[in-house]
Amino acid sequence: MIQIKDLNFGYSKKALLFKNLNLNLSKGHIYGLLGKNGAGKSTLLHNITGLTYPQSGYCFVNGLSSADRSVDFLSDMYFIPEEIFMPAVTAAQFVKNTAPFYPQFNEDQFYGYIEEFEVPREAVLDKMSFGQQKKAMIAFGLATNTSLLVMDEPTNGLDIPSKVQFRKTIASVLTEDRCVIISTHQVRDLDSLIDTLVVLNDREIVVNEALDMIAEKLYFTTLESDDKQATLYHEDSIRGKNAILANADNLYSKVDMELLFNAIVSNNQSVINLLNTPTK
Amino acid sequence: MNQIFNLNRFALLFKKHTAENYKSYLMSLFVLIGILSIIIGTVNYKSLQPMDLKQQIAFYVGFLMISGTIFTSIIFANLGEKRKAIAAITLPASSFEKFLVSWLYSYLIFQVVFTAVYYAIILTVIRLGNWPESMVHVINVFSVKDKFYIIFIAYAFLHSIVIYGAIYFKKLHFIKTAFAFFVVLLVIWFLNDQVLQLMIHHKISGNPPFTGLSFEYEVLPQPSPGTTHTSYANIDLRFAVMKWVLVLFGLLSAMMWCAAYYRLKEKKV
Repeated sequence: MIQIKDLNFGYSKKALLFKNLNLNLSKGHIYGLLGKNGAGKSTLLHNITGLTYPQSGYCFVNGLSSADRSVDFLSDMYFIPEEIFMPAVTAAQFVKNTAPFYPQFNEDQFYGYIEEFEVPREAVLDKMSFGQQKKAMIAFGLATNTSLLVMDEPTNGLDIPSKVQFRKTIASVLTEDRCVIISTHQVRDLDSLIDTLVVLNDREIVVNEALDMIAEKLYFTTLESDDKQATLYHEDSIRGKNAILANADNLYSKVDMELLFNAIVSNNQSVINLLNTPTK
Repeated sequence: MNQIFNLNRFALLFKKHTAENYKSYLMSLFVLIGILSIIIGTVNYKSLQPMDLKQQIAFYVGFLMISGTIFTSIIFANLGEKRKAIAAITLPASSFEKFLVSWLYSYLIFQVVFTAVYYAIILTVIRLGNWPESMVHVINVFSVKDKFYIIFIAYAFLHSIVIYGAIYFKKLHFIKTAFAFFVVLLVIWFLNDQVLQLMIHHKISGNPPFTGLSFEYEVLPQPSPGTTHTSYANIDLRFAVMKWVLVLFGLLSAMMWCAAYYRLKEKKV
């Protein structure tokens, strides 16, 4: 669905943020895009959504160049940025004015999501709290039923119950025809939500792997503090050592995304190489 | 689906733009009415006779140019603020439709509304003055005979520059565009003098571009030896030539509008 090939991008020609970046994302997945602050997550999303364009290389979404910003491309893509803008109209007026631009928009779904998120229908959008505005925008984005939904730090500004509701709702909207990308630096917010992990580090996509595959390759466990077993990566905690081991015995473990993310951004080559080894 | 222009989509965009901006546009309109009423009202109140045609045209041109360029300079203000720019750019309408909505508001609709407001104020003020009918004259800005269409060509030219600046600059659109405009004007003015000097072999200083030619020259032979007598020459452009200058400005306006459209199409966040 999304094909990024040899993409070079920088805010100045001398300092490239992405050099020959390649990435393929498919429909039917919820991708979690992780990276440290300043790694270029938002910039990558801006390239995908056509808000900026590369110096060379290309980015295609459903066969359409995102840099062209064609109407067909824009009407089948919805982007929720970190800092959102809501006009001084009510949710109902916003739907009336904006929904007709999205051919697959479903008004009943929108009001359903609004109710789930407890956003008042008749309040003027720009007068609501930031969290409420964000929830209204997420509801709108979900109801557009575009094949690509991109969210940049969607959980920023949401309270804990709203984050729980957000995870539930997102998980329920995934279909085979839809691709959802969620970028965040709050790794825990993606727990039990994403099915594929994409990690951006040092201007490169170092990992683009389904969580199932990660669990096949790596074993996440907690070891005793004095356990001498060789680990690929570990962090000390009160309970002992949170460790990543090579999953040679095909054991099942839940992927500890925070631990994995820390291992990757600390440039742990053993972990990165193992993740990028093709499965047999 | 047509990727450049679709009437239904354009109508939707126009409606959305209006719904989201009508309050600020109405407020701007009331400010314009207030300023025009106060200034035109005061001038008339202090005068022993109704405003003559020259005064009326001066007010019309002055206020049209100033208020029109200020309004145009903020028509794309949303592109200067990242979160608003994202909403505007990702809205599923073509760049041409987005440009056209702003062009219609700042060029066509603005001129119609401004002219209507101006006439309403002039007529009201003159009526309130209770002057005899024979003293009252009201300009007709659509008079071809008086060549008032020059005003609209001049407005088109200024509008095209300001709308380009409105898209190009992120902040302080009006000031930055005006600054750039005056710098370019100064350069053209200077170059115009150099070209004219080469053409007529006389010193030219500060001759405004596109307005004919004025220069000082030595009278030969000198009436009395040892003294320098000079005279002043003034060559006006014939209207037949002036017409081409107007065509040139019309073409320049169209080029700047095209450039502004492409600038919008390529706008990055």
